[in-house]
Amino acid sequence: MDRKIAIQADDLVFSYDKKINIINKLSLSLYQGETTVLTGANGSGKTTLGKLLLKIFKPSMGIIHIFEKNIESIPLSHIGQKIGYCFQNPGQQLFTSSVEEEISFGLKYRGESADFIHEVTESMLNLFEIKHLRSEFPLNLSWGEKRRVVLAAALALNPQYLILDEPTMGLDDGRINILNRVLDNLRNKGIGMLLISHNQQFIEENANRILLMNRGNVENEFCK
Amino acid sequence: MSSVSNTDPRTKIFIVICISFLAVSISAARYLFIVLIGSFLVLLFFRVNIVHFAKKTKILLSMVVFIALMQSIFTSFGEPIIQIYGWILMTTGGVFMAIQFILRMMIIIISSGLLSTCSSREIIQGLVQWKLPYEVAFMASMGISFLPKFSEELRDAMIAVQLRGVDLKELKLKQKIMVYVSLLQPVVAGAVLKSKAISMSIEMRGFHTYQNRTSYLILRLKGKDYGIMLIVGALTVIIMIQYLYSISSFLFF
Repeated sequence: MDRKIAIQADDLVFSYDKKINIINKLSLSLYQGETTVLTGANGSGKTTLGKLLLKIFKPSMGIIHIFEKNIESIPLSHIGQKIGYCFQNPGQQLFTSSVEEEISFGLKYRGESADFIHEVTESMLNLFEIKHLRSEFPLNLSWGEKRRVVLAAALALNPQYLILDEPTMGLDDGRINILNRVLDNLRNKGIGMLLISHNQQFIEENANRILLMNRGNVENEFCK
Repeated sequence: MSSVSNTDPRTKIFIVICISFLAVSISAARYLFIVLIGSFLVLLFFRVNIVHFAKKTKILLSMVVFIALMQSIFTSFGEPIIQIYGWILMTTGGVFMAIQFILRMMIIIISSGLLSTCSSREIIQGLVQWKLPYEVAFMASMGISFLPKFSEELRDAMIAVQLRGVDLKELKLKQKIMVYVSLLQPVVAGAVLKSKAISMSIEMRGFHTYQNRTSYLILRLKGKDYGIMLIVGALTVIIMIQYLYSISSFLFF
């Protein structure tokens, strides 16, 4: 099958202290329409890899292409227009004074019409069951609520690819089921995603391909 | 270890106090500029990694410039410089205030970089040996660490903004201002919440449970420390006297 590559990383090397390589000569391809799960022990480099793929961190060696473009030449905001990303800690990503504003922020500055912004914001508030929190200050919410706000804000922008770092952390079973449904729906639309997770059930339900990371490299790969 | 890197933390605290005192007391731009140059020289003398420090505080400094710009717009005294349909947008007084604010904040931020060469434990111990109650010393050390925390919050917020597909460079000035204004409150609140979480976890580990506290770290001032403090103290007094003299001659003649 001819699969279209969304993200391609070649020979990535990254170190926080220039002594120990957290990512060690790692190469991988992530495809459109495919759900890849990245799993592995704590400290194996999963979150660091996610941030490298999005240019939040700069690799000391190696090249990354997003939709066939070298990320060196693309500003972070342009990557953000194509790829939705949720941090492991959702609080790190909240920066407005209300939940509603958080969801509509990207759309507003993209120049969408007021009606469209209202429609998308309402549908996201409904989808993630956070309508009652619309006027709340995002940083005062619980971990699970923050997680839902961040997911809603990322999906509101209709990304072409998604990278979610530990998306089930802090969510109850009911909310994980909602997330599974949302991801399934996105998969049916042909949107690819990289999920970083330890939750076995969540991995089972979503993965097309599982990458097991160890000491900064992909140690094993399983296809379903 | 080089001789400057093992300088007593109290010497560094003393230097920061002197520089901050000058920054707060002086309002003449030319004197503030001299103090700013002095702060840079101090960082160079103590071999602070200026490039790394500049990267860490880049966003914070841009925020200072933005606040100064806002301040200059809302200051009404002085001669008008920019007027739109009779509405005074910027005055000479506003520009003067903005320059003063930028210089003052830069001095404080740059001089605080000197404390980045000490651990928080050393700062607390230094203050305790100056007979400050442990709680106050601890509070001061937390206060000092608030600046990097604020800077961190701001950096995270800027990354999050870009990840929502918004490039500040591509926005119009009005939109840029709106983004910065909307960031200000959550970023400050985020830094305060982080500090609150730290203080709670410290309490949870039994802070202030016992009357007395043992410290394995005992700091000792050497001749070099006294020498540096004497020179910095004398320079502070000279600059202050010179500044006060220049004000009084301006007022009386």
